[in-house]
Amino acid sequence: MTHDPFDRLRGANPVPDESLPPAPMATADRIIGGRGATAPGRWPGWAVATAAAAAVLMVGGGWMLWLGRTGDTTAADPGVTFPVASATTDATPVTPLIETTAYLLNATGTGPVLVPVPRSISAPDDATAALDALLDGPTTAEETAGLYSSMPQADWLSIARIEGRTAVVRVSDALLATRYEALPPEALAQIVFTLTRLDGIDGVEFLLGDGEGTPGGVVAGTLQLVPQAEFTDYPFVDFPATRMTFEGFMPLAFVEAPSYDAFVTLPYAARGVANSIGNQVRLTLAGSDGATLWQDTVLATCGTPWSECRGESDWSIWEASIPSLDYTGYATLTAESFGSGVEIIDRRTYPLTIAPVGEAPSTTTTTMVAAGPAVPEELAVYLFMDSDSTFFVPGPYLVPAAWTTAVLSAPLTDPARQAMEWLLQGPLPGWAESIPAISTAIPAGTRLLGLEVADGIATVDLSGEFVSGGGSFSMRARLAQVVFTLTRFEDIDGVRFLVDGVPTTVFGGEGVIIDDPATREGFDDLLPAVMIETPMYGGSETGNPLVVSGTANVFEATVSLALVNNDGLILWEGFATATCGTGCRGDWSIEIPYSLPTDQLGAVIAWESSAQDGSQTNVREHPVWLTGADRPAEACSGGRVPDGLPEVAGLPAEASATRDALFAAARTCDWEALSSLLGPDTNTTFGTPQDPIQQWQREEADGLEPMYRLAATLQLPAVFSDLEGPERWEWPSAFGYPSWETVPEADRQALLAIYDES
Amino acid sequence: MTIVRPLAASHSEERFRDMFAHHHPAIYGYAARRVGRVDAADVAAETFTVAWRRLRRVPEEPATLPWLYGVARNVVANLERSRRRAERLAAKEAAAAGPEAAVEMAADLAAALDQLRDDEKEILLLAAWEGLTPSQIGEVVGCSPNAAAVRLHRARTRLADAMEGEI
Repeated sequence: MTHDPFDRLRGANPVPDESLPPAPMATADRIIGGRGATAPGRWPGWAVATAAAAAVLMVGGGWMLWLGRTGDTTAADPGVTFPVASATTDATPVTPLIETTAYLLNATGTGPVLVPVPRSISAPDDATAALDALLDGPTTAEETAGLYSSMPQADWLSIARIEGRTAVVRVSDALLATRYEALPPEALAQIVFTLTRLDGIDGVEFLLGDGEGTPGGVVAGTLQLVPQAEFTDYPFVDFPATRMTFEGFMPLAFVEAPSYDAFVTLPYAARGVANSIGNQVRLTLAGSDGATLWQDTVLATCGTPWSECRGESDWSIWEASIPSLDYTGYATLTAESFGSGVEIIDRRTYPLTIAPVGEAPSTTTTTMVAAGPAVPEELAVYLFMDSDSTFFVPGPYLVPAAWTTAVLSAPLTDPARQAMEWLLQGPLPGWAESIPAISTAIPAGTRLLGLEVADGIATVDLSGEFVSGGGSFSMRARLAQVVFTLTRFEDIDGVRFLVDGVPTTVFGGEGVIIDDPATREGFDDLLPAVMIETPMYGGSETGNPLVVSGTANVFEATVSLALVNNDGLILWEGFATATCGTGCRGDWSIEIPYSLPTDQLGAVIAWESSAQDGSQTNVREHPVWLTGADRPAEACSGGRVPDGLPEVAGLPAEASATRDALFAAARTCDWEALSSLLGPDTNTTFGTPQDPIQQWQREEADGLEPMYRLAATLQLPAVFSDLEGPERWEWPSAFGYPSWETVPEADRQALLAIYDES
Repeated sequence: MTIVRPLAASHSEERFRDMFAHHHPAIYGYAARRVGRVDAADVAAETFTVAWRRLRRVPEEPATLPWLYGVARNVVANLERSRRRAERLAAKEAAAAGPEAAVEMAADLAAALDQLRDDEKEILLLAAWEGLTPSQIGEVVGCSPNAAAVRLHRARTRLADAMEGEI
């Protein structure tokens, strides 16, 4: 035993280097994918661009196109791949793109429940597509929304074969070596639901081990996987396992179609399974502003396609037709099932995107700007935003939150009184659960007894509950909420308090004393270092350019700011200078211009850059509605590409004609023309019901700009190639070269215009 | 069929991935030793997020790891600040359970370590647990290699004194 304390300290290392896990490279991908985005129209890097778009024209005039999923950084994965054969060219065989549904998990108070999500994936057959999609796990957006997967490593499971109506899933020796720990009941539920979603599959068997393998079944009750030899040890083994084996993972109001965050056109037949007393299921479709677009209560029929009715209030199937509505864009579908009375025992809400009604005619598809939320008048109510405890967001500090007057049944006559009424109501549903949480310090049950405004002073009379409970911090906090809410109105500078009609300046058992009248002065400790006053938290009354203002007490008076879109991509980044800094609070204001294809919920993020290492500190984030471009004529992203195609030496006439037609169609989003260029065999070539035109329309609506990419790609230098396939011309030319270094200098210059780094 | 041949990832991404692959375990370890394994993944992810955003400012090897330790140190400090604030507020919860003990060591050693100032403790631990040299420590905490060597020596002496019960 050594006596040098330093050596003893070394030996007391709580996390020795040998115990460290390897670097989780998926996290690196997320960091690169989530934060590295640049302005629209430019691809963030060569690797992304490789996966993002490439057009290939066959010598005979046929063409192929790769359009990757935006955000993918895997260069080796070309993303969505589809060939288009023309009469004169044989398309190279390509794995078809298959639309499928994978079941992810969502945690609830009573354990995880299944959530179906839509997927497009290249695979040789439907069952492999479904399993691969499941093994890929949630997207970043789904993860953010709380969806997760319990699937093991991707190469540990595969489809062995389909036997009649049963899918046989092979479990590798490597997985067996974990003694099934890598395959918990919820993972088995995901597999069974995902595969039995396919037409013609009712059950799933497992083949344990590589090679010959042993059949495996699922023990009812414990939901363990066991080999056939051990079946006799258990009273019930489901072999094959079915949806009923895993009924415990179904939410009581289960929406199966549409999938979570799906793209739907109206009218739409929604369906699902519920377990509701009285078999009633209520469905509500709400627009992006939360207003109800459609609501219906449907009667479910006891029993499902995969289970008999076991008596009253068993699993029941429901169907509901959502009619055509004059609405496009983001919406939510909520399904509710009921208990013995009217109480709701389960409620599931899925986001979805409603596509414009009807297909293809170019006159309607060019106006894909979402209707978006109405822009009502809003009032600010000051609540508290808590620290999120995992990031650089300290708290709780005051935050101005937006309440919309659109919910009022009568016209707004007294804004100050209305703001006070809302303030006493506390946070909107869901805000308390958001991260960071939004909360109020005002005790529940506090009533507004009176409010008068005269000579710049508001006199507010509150019921006795206002002063009940809480320490001095809570007392000052609730006073500040009232003062800030009222003094936000231009004609109010100070606030006098009455409690049950009695003028009061000393509050609570600990004697919190305030000025008479009270002003915003003196509540500085309840303000964050960077306070955003406009736009409000959750505000939708925002313009373009977005006016952002607030107060700050930060190092060198510099407030760093960013505007992000719905996907968290940075639209604008910069800073504002406050009128005072490093120890005193000053005002700051800035106008942020932005352009977005559709209305969407984005966020304004303000922070103080750490003087030491530039990291974000004192971060404030306000979700706000951003206004999409209101210019239907230019809604086609391809329209931003200037007209005119450069000459390509040696390009045959047929290929040149196809290129011209493609370019013209891409610039105007002429879906009909594109559709005719795709040829009549499109659907069979793809082996999928999904129409590429629909895919593009969807991407256009989502602002992914597929037509911009297609048109811009065709303007780039081209190269002739006959490597590994038919003779063809490829755009951009770089794809015809083995590495960036071998791309000719002249081409490189042109390519640098779209690749920001290489 | 590979008509599209993947080309090299952009230089930035490649550099970042390299850096991540090489240094993530060390940064995770640093975080785990100070805030426990539960929060360590978050601290490491945040540290590398800062590095990705400021990639051009990240020094080349061999100075990369000390720079990352410096960022991780700030991330940990921020995390602890917000934790303490949360604990002060949630008085009920604080009463129920104290913060997770991130470090378990002999009581006498822990007591001696607690008698040191925070900066002395940090320098000692960077040397003892992360195995940094004085010049690397200098880069992490922002002082010259000489100053770091002197401060490390003093910290070791004070630890020894504290063990003897002399301070």
